[in-house]
Amino acid sequence: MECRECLGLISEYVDDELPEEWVSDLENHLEGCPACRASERELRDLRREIRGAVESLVPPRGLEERIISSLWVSERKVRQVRTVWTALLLTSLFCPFFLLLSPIFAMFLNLAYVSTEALWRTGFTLLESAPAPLSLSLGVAGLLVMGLGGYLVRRLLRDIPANEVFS
Amino acid sequence: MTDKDLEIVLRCRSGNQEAFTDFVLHYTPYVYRTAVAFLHDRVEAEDLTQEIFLKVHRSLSQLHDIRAFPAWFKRLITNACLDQLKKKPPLPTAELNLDRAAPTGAEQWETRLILREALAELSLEQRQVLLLREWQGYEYREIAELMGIPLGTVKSRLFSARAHLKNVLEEETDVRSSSPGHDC
Repeated sequence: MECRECLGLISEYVDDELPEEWVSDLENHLEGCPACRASERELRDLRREIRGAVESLVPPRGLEERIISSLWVSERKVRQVRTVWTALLLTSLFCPFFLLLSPIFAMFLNLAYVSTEALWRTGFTLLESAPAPLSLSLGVAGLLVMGLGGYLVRRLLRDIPANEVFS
Repeated sequence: MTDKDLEIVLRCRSGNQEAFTDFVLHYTPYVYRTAVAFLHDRVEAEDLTQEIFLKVHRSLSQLHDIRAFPAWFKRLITNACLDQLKKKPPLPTAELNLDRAAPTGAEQWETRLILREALAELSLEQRQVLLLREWQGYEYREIAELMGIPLGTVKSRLFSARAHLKNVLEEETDVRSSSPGHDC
């Protein structure tokens, strides 16, 4: 094998990609040719140097933290979009059933309305018949309870975990 | 793949957030280095690193055989880099903003700096093939498949890229040996 031919094949030899039938010829030539052996060594050194050059690249400070935070933000968005789509899909799937059962729902709604109205009336009648200070304090307490309920519902709707809402 | 890597990946697959944080901390340097080596743009490499971890997070549960993780992960990173290059080829004047401060081993640091600059001078195709072989460790056949080029083209690009880098390093060695600091 000539040096020129050998130099053309060294690259493949170093990569273990040279066909078997060429390997022994090339190795024989390398044994007897210091110049080609030096080229082979240079190529192996070059590989080490390239790896070293890439490994010496230092990630900027805080990159990991930025990746992690952006990942959770993005995952949260994906989850929200998925929830909305699931809700829409379920609604569209159950729409025919809702329509079919709408008279029953209307009946229940009416019942709820009637019973709530009755409760209000009873409450007001009791408040009116009670002594003035007691009726006033009960009214204020009722308003406070309603306000607190509204606040808790609002916090829950803002995606705050229930244990934090009640803590 | 060490036992620790395996454990992290297994915990990640079960949707453990803490495990994925460990995963990001463990693999960010490798992913970032690969992205910078391919793109030669630190800002884009940062964005791509984020995208890669997002893809891993979304698709890791689909990986059935845990032993296939290293090859799967390497392929995912490589495809992301190659796709990014297809979408937005780097400008010829793109700056790598190399770290020019030499912390230790000044001579070796300088060689690496020169080599990174030489890598940036290669044509995009030559650099891709060279990095796929030398950094990612792919076989010629796999490189041909990844890039959609004939095997002969892989060989010739690799040969030219190496010849260029060898010349650059030889020139650097000549400069060093002729400089006054190396007379002793």
